[in-house]
Amino acid sequence: MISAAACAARVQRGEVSALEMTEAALARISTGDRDINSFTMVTAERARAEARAVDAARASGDVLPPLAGVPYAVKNLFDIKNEITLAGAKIRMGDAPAAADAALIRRLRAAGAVLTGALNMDAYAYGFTTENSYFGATRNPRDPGRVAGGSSGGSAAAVAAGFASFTLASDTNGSIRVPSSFCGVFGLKPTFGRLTRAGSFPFVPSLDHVGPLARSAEDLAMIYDVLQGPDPDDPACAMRAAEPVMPTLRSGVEDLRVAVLGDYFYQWADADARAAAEQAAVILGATEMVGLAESDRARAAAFVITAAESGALYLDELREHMDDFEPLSRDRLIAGALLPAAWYVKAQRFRRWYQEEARKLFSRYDLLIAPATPRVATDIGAERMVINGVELPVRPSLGLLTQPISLIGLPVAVAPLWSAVGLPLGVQLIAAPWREDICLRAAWVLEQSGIAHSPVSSVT
Amino acid sequence: MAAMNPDTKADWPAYIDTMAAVHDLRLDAERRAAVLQQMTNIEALAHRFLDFPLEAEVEIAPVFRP
Repeated sequence: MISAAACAARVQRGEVSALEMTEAALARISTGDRDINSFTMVTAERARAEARAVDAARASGDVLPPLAGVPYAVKNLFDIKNEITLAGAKIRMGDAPAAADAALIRRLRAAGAVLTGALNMDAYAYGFTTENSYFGATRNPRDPGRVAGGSSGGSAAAVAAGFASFTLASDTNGSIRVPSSFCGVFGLKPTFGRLTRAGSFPFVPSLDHVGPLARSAEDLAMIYDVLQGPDPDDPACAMRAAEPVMPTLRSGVEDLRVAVLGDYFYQWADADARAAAEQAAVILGATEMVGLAESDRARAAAFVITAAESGALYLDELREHMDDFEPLSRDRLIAGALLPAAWYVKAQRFRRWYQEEARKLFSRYDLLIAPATPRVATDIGAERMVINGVELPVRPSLGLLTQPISLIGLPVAVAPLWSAVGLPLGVQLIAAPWREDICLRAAWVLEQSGIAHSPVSSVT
Repeated sequence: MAAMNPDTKADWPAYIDTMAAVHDLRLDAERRAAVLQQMTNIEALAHRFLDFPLEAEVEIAPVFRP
């Protein structure tokens, strides 16, 4: 599967039809995904119909939209018309099919993209490994013995394996950034409120973001520009006009003030993860290492907000059929539903304080670099890991470096660097609110330097 | 502003029983033990920010705007 930009260009030039591109994607999914388990549903007939519509438009002489004929797939918490929205959960299987596509799927369809299916995830989006007890674990295409990361593991694995040119996913505490890091793909978690979540199943409404994953910075930028724009159907979506990033993508970073986040972000990063951040720092001209005060408390606040909001969201269903819940997250959901309200309020108030600390930092810097994950992907089934001599539980700890950043809604691009043993390890490229353009410019520079890249996996 | 005393031990089993009853959640012994473990894990994390002093004007953000 070629990049989204290359795919769109070939269809535009008539070198290949959208239907041929779609059939190739479907064939690759059919043969390759048995070993990866990234898809929970393939929408083959819908994909063919969308591809034929693109080809018909081309035959009629219409100007094709920017993503015409590009195959993509979505995390299975996005509504797909006439299909059940699973949100990774067995308890959703009896739900009525969605009456309409999610808002972002509608925008992608208008841009000519072709939807090939829905992707595996941690149940409810509560996890960092995509070891789903009901739908099975998604395997990492870079090493099938390892997890793909989560909760959007299917979204990252499908891109890495070349099943789709790009995917959509959600990120509440790191669910785009952790799997992007583990699977070696580019990911974008935009500013909180930038992209509409209308028609996506919620998890933690005050923290939920949505965004794309792809195999190049250019693809991310192109897709992101199609997705932008206000939407009154999502109360958190900012009434803010689209601010296209493609025109400035190749502007370089010479005019940016760049620093590396140290302290907490180094404390919980192993030698490989620190090396990745340092490589990126050299290329991007970072001159200083700085701290973001109280990031340990910020991570704790994100954890409590997540437990409280998700527990409250699922309380009625826990009461009705507790035994059908995902065993890996059921007890956290129950505990979250029982938390003292004052803890939740204090966590939200702390969030406001931490946001002000970040604002101060962005008066001095335009771009901050941090590892995306404490280490490379863990083995499937692993329970414990050691980071700088400290033993930690794997599943809740893989988001240690992402949770403080999403708590305050900052835009982040992940660029995939590679460890000495050949496994991917992402770096977070973090900017001030609404400056996704800076994140993507930095990702593009890292890609051009050759240290960030996302080849199609040779596993399949 | 008095901070919480970190040495104070909550009676979490009793709290869980009470709150589960409030929410009409039926927990068998296995589930109750697992929820207790989760609750103590969350408590350990919560203390990291519960003890952090904030001025009264730092208000909750019910609809967060970055």
